[in-house]
Amino acid sequence: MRATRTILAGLATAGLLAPMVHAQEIEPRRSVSSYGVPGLIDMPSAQMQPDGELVTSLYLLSNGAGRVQLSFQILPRVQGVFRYATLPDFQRVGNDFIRTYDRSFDVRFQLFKESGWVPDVTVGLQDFGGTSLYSGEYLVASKTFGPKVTGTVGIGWGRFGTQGSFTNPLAVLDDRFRDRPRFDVNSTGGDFSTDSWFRGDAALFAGVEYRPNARWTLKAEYSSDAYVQEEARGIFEHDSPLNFGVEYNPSPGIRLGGYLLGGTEIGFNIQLALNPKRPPAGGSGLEGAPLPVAIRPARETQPNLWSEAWVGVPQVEQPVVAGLDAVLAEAGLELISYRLTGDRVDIRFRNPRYSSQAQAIGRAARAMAATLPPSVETLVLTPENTRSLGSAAVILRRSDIEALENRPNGAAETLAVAGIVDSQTLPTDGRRYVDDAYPRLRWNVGPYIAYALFDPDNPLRADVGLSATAEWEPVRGLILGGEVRQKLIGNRDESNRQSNSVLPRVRTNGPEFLKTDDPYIPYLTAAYFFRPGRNLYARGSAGLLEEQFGGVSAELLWKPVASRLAIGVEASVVRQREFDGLFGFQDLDAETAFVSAYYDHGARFYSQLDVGQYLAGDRGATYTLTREFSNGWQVGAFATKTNVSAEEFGEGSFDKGFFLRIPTDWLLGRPTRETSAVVIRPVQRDGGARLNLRDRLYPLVRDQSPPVLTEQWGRFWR
Amino acid sequence: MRRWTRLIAAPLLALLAACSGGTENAPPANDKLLLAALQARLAGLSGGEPVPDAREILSPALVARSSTPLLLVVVEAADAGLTMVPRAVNRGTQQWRDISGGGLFRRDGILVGTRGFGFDLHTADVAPLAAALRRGGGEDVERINRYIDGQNQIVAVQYLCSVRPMGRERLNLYGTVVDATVYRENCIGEGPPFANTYWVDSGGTVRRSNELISPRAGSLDLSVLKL
Repeated sequence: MRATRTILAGLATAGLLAPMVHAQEIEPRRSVSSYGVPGLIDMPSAQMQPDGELVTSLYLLSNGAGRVQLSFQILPRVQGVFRYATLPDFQRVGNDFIRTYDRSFDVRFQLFKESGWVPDVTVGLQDFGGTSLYSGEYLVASKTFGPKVTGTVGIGWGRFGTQGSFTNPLAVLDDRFRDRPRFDVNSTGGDFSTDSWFRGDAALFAGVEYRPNARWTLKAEYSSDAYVQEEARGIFEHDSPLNFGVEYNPSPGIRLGGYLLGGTEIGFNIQLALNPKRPPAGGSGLEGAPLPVAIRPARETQPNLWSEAWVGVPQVEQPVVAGLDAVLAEAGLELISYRLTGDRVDIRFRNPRYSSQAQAIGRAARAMAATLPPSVETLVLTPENTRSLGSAAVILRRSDIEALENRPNGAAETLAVAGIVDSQTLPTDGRRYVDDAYPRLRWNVGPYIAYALFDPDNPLRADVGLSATAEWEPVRGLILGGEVRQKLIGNRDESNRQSNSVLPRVRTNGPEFLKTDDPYIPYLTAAYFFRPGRNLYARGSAGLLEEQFGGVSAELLWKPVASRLAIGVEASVVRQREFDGLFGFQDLDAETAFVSAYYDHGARFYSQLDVGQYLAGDRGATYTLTREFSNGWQVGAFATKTNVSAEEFGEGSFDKGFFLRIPTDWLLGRPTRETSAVVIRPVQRDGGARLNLRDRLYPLVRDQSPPVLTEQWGRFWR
Repeated sequence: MRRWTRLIAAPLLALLAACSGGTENAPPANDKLLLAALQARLAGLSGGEPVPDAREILSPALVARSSTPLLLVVVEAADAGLTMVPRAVNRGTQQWRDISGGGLFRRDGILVGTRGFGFDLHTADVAPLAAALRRGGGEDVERINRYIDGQNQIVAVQYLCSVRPMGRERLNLYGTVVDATVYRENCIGEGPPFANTYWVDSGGTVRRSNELISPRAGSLDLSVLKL
């Protein structure tokens, strides 16, 4: 539920800047309903968004109700939605009705895609957790009539089966379909409520969307939603099943809508769409042209320049290395070490600038071609991450670089002749570190924003303050780092949820950590990173590991270069920190350990399975599915099931959530390795809780070796 | 401390290193021209108010004084003019740069790549087009433009282009008068159709051209002011 960077600002900006598309390539963006899915006003249509589309919509109703929805087109025919809704005077507390907040998830599958006379047909499960006011299912068909008109008809259950309803036709199959479990505003929810899907009375709905031009859209619908619960509480007067709306599209990706609902209420909708596949500045980025490949003089004409006699001669080696260091620095890269021989040079370098390692390698190769003596034919390049871990090494022939620089299909041709090996297998004799490679100090003082999104009582809480971070690497791989924060203003401390957890309170007293008004230390650790052998990566950390826990932690990762599979083990012994966020500890110990498997399915879907013991001592497994775009965008979801029962777990029944990661260079078009990430959990409980460790190995090293490295190879010559 | 020294030292050393590495370095054109290039480029990128661009600063005298070949690049979408100088040649492909680091690639006088314009043309396979221009046009040729898409993938877009002579025209390139044959390249294919135009002098050199970068970035109008 917490994010550390300004992702909302990012979403808004990207929505504003979202580019137009080559119309013939991508299907059009769809206008969304008040529930955030392609549709009319309250009723869904059967249409889907373009693949990868991420639509944020904010819907406000004149009675004080509101919903924020985030929908993601997971696959061309599968769409997922997260919804945070609020209703005024809804939940009964004693004799009063108070405002309530509700989170829910939808999923939609498209069964048929429109083609000829066959319409789009989609089945949808709205709030498939099933306890909320909004739960409902539908089967809907939509058909376009020319470019301007789309007609929709459907049958709905649950919320969508309350106006003009009739006995469920599915009762013919089984009598159980006749009745739907009653809606319970106080239930814990969170499980798949399969026992209510498609149950109870059904009703028909229909509507039409008319687009006279690219800017305007008119909508009319016959709604099958009678607003029964709202009418019962007197917060909605439902006079008519007919709803009408008009929408305006001021710029691509932005849509504003106004609606008349039930004959009595007015609704407003703001829709922001963006798509990872369509960066605002295009895929090429705005950075300037790289250094041209320097061409060596021909050996036949100037054989003396090709001599290897320079090896071991400091008067030559020193300026060569200084030149290489400087040209790499001009490209934004930092030389760490080098190994010079007459015909081959190995370098290891840091890439703090380019989000694509292939682009960094391409620029480093050109720096080598510009500075190394002509006798050097083999170039071996190992990018290292900020933790001094190298992974793959790329081996290139200098004559290939010279020959392929301007070939029309140069990137693919270069990859075809590049050797990619585990850098751990490279010779180490004669490797020298540049003078100032270590020790290394980095520090930063600046503002921070920390926010909690969609918590059970407030959609947005945020703190703003000052942060100072420092990182010192006295010897290669040993990193002493920490951060101090001072909150200046914010409302994250206003959450006064009392923990009612029956488990060890490893997370539910999290709000207590936010109440300090004094400087606090989010983390302060000593960590050591190294490669114990081929295919292996290791980390050991000790100290204040995260905001709520301190202790020791160790991790070992097996990830062969070019393997789709990686396996890691991780064990930590920790104690809960004092709420003041300083050096003290409380009396809550935890031992946690996991075996994790990471798998790259291809087509940029990644799975992660973690099996082990969680912070509260519960045992089970977490499954995470991530869709990653090779520009670095990630959209994923996770769920954890442990041996804690749904009753013991409390609200939500089990731990789950989703996350988004947006690379900053995607937004700006300028090279940077920064990303914005947000993790949204409907509820944070104590079951299935893990440590928020910094520098877990797999995400740290993943982009340094294939398949990720080679997926981005198109940027080698950029 | 280290950072600062590096920041200051890097450009100096880089210049030296690049020279010693054997890159074919062009001596910098005079500062006024390059400054105009920078201004025009910034204006083009931000879409902001027009600043005096290269076309307003260039004069026959200025061009004549230039010690290096000069290319006038007009970004049509932004109506911004900037100058570029040659930076390197590798196997027949010329790299041109402006002062802010943007650049373009030309092969046989035909645009085969841009850098730093956003929605850049990554590479173009124009060997058949170059041959057709040498033979005086009147034929259909294949062209493959490659772009980096939003997911860092290279997308090859194939076109079939008709190359036709359109008559002769006299160009006045800041004092240099060139009689040129005009060729029109009309392309249809996997992307939106487009048309490029080339003004070829009697020696077979493309002296002016109007060529597409990409559908989003639009076209460049290139004039070789000084060979």
